[in-house]
Amino acid sequence: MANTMETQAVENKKIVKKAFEELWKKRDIEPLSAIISDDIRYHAPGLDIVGKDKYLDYMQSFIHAFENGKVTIEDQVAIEDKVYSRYYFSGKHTGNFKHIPATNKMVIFEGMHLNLIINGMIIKEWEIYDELGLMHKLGLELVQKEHMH
Amino acid sequence: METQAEKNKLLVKKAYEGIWIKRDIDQFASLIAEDITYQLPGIVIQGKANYLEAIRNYWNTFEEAQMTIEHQMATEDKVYTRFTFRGKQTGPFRDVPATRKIIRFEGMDLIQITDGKITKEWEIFDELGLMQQLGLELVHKEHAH
Repeated sequence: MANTMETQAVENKKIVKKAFEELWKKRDIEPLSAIISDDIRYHAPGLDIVGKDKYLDYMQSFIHAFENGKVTIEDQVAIEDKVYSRYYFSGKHTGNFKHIPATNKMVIFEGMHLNLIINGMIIKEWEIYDELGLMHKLGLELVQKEHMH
Repeated sequence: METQAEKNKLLVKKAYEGIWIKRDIDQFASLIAEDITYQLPGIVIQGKANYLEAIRNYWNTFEEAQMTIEHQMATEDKVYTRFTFRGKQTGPFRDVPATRKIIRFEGMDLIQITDGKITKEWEIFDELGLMQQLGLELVHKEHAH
């Protein structure tokens, strides 16, 4: 039993690593698509996505926005059906991203995610990444709302 | 018998409790290594004294704090935690003076434990969401002034 669970954890780590590293290496959504459950739930601060199509659209928007994008998984821990990963992302901002037109800047940011995997399919994902740091690099800054006008 | 992983989970819970519930710097200090490295995006804090100083600054910033562990996973030397933090901003945070607003944000944390002490911590929290709750917003630089 313990062995089975350990094997499952090792397999699940591979699934997550492959899904995100290959996505960027090949700039192809298909390998990721094959392991995303139809009813996936994705959660990041301020963003909830339900369903495979919407999830893949979201991932595709990153691929469009960042040329030479690369995910490097720095650390991974898995037990049974859950995998935590700490990663960093690097890429060149060459396309529209969250209403910000291409800046051609090189960006690098850190993130962590937790994936829940059942029968080889990702059914739930919680993610957090340094969105503020990314936005700063893309030329945005924080200002007090009342000083705006 | 408790496994090392279970002990590590308890250690992290005790650390959060020491920081946010008891506000007991000695309890917390006893759990961390002299040469701890604490890493947030864009910030690296090195050494126990600097780390404790950062914790005291957090105390000055947030009152009525609640640190909720949403999920935790531990191995022999690592603990990942997904958490939600709630509190009232009663002191300056970055360049934002006290707003006395109640804030809530999510984060994830990876803690490395060696010989019963925290030696390394990587944390990412929703700083953008926090800043928005404190009354700031993101704008293009050319529009900011």
